[in-house]
Amino acid sequence: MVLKALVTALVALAAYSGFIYLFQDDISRTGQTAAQRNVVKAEEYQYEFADQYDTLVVGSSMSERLVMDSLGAGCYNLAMAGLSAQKGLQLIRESNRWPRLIYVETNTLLIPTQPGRLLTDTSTPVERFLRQHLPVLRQKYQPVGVFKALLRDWKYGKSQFVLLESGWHVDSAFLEKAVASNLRNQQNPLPDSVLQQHVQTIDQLLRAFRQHGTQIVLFEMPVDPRLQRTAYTRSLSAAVYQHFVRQGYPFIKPTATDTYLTTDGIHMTHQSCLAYTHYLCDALRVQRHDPETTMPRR
Amino acid sequence: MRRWQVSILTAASLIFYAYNQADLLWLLLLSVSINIGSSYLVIYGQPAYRRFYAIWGVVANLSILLFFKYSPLLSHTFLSTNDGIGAWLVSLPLPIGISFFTFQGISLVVDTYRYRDLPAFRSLIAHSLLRHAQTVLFFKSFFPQLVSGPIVKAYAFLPQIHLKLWQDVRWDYCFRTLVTGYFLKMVVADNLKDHTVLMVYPYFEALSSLTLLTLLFGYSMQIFADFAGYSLIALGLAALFGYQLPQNFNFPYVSSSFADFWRRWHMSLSSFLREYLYIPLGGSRHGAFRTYLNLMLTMVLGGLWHGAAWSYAVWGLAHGLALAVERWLSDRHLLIPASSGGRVLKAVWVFVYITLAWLLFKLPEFSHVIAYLQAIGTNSHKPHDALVISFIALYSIPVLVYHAYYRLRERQLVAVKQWEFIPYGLMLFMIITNSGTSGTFIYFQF
Repeated sequence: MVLKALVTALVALAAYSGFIYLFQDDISRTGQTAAQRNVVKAEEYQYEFADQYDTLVVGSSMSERLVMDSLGAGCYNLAMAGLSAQKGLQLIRESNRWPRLIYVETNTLLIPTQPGRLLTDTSTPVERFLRQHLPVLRQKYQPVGVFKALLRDWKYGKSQFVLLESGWHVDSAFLEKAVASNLRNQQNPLPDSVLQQHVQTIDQLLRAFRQHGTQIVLFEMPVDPRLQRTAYTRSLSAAVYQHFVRQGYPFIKPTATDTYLTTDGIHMTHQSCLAYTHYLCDALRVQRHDPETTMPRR
Repeated sequence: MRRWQVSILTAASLIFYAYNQADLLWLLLLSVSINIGSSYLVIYGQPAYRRFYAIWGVVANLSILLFFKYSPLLSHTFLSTNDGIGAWLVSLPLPIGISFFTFQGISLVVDTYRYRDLPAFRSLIAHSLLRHAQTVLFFKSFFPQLVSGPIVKAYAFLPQIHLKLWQDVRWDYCFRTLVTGYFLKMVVADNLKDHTVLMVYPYFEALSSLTLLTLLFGYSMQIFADFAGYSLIALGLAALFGYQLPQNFNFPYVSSSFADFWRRWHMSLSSFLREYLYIPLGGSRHGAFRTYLNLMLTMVLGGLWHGAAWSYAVWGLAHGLALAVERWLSDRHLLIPASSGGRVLKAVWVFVYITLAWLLFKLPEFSHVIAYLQAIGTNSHKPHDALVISFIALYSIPVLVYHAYYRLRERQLVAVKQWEFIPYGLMLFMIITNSGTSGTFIYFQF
């Protein structure tokens, strides 16, 4: 029985590998959950797209929603839900590639994330080698995810993005509860010891990129104005300003934050995200000509 | 080399434990030392003090568990946790597997005291203190069951400690157990985990009633797949070394009564609670009222064993209440008749009740549990998350098929022995290609 089962598994694996090999180009956006989408994104960057993009965005679920079409064709969004910009920077660093430009979201830059949240954190070099050469072992090609993607593309068309209805509308009762919950969670500032530890890590990463000619641009995503005044947010902003903005890293800070709508105090609606992406593009354009104009005034 | 089998396995088990929590290895060794001393003294100490040695052993075991596991809960409840002793108690680390290895220690001490006059059991407690120490150290630290069980009883495990030969290993059993275990854990539970993560306050309030019900159903499937999967992996790994650990799950979601459920769910814990708590409390020997009280008390303590939060005690109380009411109805012949339709109806009721009770596991704050139940009632107008519902349904199918296959096999309605390599081969294929993002076992926190 054992031998027969092993042979069955091998035959299934070979057949599925053949299928993936033949239809690789038709398979995209296979992640089933936020956690898997992160892994798929990381794998796609490492194994497929790293050489195609010279501009990268790193951050959390906040900047994951940026409208990439507006940011330009050569830009790849490596922002990941539930993780921080730090994770994205580490991922790029591990790939041993030096992009021309990295946009770094500052909202979560210094927030500690649990180790091992990304599959690439826990995999061994052997596993990475196998995934590189045997695509069938990647999360991107999980049979259930592939089935979902093919079904979606068949129903809606390949390039059609399906946006959740909840991302368009603001449920004000829910928004109030979410903001209240976040206000409770953000009552206390992040301890200095934690901040210092992360400042050091980020500083080393950013210096390494700069030394290799990569330009770094910091940007902040707008959140509900009530959440911008919490002790937690203020401690993060002050640390970013003190350790990075003052050191000469270009920084784009949102203006008129009360014009952007969020669904939960943190994540913007699709319309607001589109508006903010346009603002970001304009600020980047201005920043290229005169770096001082977008520096926040304190 | 053969004579070093147990020593090598013991050393490997300690390294395995220390790999994750080296700074708390001393606590495991302290717990082992207490059990070596008390069990040895029960047999070879002064006969007049045997009871004292046994009580000392149990109290010492429980003290370690109480101190490390429940100090934070007591501090949160009765002390200020901002500074002083309260803050220190809250900061105590929770040693991995403490609930499991403590219960095994209690089992050793109690079994030794109970069966002290049985020659067969006495022979398991070596006269040489060093040899006895080696045996107890292995019994408590054997790696497949060290961190999350199954809880192994001394009388079942000690007789197995002897030379193992290659030809004794049941490869077919190991393969089936490991493949099923890894499939349940890595493909079913780890994928469901990434969906049920949506059950967090206040985000679940934005979801529709149907989505919330599906998530709750998914969590019920996830917790089974996670723990039953882990237990099967433990059984398979132990069997690779020639040891048989007790079965921990027996298709619990087919249960048609709460008593039946607890004979099928986490069987090593429920049998431990029955043998070492419920029966010593008097069991059902002192009238109806005491029986109900004993049931409730056993389940509340069983609930608290799962975690140091009052919500776990309430979860235990909910199960104790269900068991007591069921017994009361049964005593008065008021239960639904045992026709096949009646059994299905009862099985559905038991499943719904148990699934609702899992909310106390997922959301340890009562207010969030109430908010979740309220949202189920009020959010019917919100748009459904079709993707989440579809994925949860899809990943729940293996658990449902697993239970259905058991029922069909029980009634001899399926005879597919010659083709059973196909599902095992496909499960292996899915483990390789469709595992979820890795996550710790839910029961590790206990």
